[in-house]
Amino acid sequence: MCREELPVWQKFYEKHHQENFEILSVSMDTQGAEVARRFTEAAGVTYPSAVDRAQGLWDLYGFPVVPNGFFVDEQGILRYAKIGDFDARNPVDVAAIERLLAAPSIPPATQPGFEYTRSIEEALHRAEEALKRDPANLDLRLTLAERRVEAKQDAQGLREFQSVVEKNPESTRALVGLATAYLDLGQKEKALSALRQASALDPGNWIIHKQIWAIGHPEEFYPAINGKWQEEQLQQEKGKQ
Amino acid sequence: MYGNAWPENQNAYPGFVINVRGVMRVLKLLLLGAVMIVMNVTPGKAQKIKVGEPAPDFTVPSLDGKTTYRLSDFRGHRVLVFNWASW
Repeated sequence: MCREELPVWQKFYEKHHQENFEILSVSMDTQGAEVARRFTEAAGVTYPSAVDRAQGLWDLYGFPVVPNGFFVDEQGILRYAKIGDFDARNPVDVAAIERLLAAPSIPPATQPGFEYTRSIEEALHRAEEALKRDPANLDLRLTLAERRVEAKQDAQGLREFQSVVEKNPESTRALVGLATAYLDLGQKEKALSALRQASALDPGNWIIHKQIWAIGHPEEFYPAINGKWQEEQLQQEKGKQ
Repeated sequence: MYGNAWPENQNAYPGFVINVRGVMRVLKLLLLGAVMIVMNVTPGKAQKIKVGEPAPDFTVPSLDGKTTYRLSDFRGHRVLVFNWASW
């Protein structure tokens, strides 16, 4: 459902971009950037777009569902957040953001060409340094593991995720992270097994649940989403319990 | 799947009547994308953010796989962060 919102936010972005305003879209696709990029490209998206494969961000913010939206002001203060059902096609949600944009805002003087981006290597280095300062911190280890997978150091990332699972077997973020590394290494069944473990630990997490479906049955999601299949699948799972 | 969550939350959501038709309706709603319901009826994780307080910083890789975005790098600009998924 959410993929249909991409072009609607694009129109919103074009309308308001000059008002010292940016959009950052974050895909929740555990499969990785490639599957998400197909849809942003088709929608002609020009706003910054990223992927959060292992749910690091949503673990940090405590979002068990998708789609969500939040607005951060010039000082980095959270001014609005809607968890679940945040929709570009819902006039109420759009009005909430437009109200925040109604206040005048002057962009800071930045050097020309500044684009809010940093290299993967820089982010990896920063994560390494942070863990060195606090080696027992599992959240920092998870962040480093995510950066390793992003930098295509999948085997190392896998080991980092595994070491967190050993220390905290209930870390769903570590298990989802493990799945991202397995997927990149071409081990789909192991990835699904890690995701099922995560889902069992956090049954209310709809993101993990649907992710398992999409990886296990891609034909029901790409190119078109088969709603009837999901309905049947849900009833089947319900029956098994 | 979400069956266990219903009785626990019955008092918190007195408007919901627990019967087969009601549950079926909820299942349909779920499939229509009303995933908010899931969050309301399952214990899940507590919300960790608060409007009026600093937004926790994070780094996410760009979809082209070449760069990363860090929320604090947007300082000085207003930013709407939204999330979605291909499924």
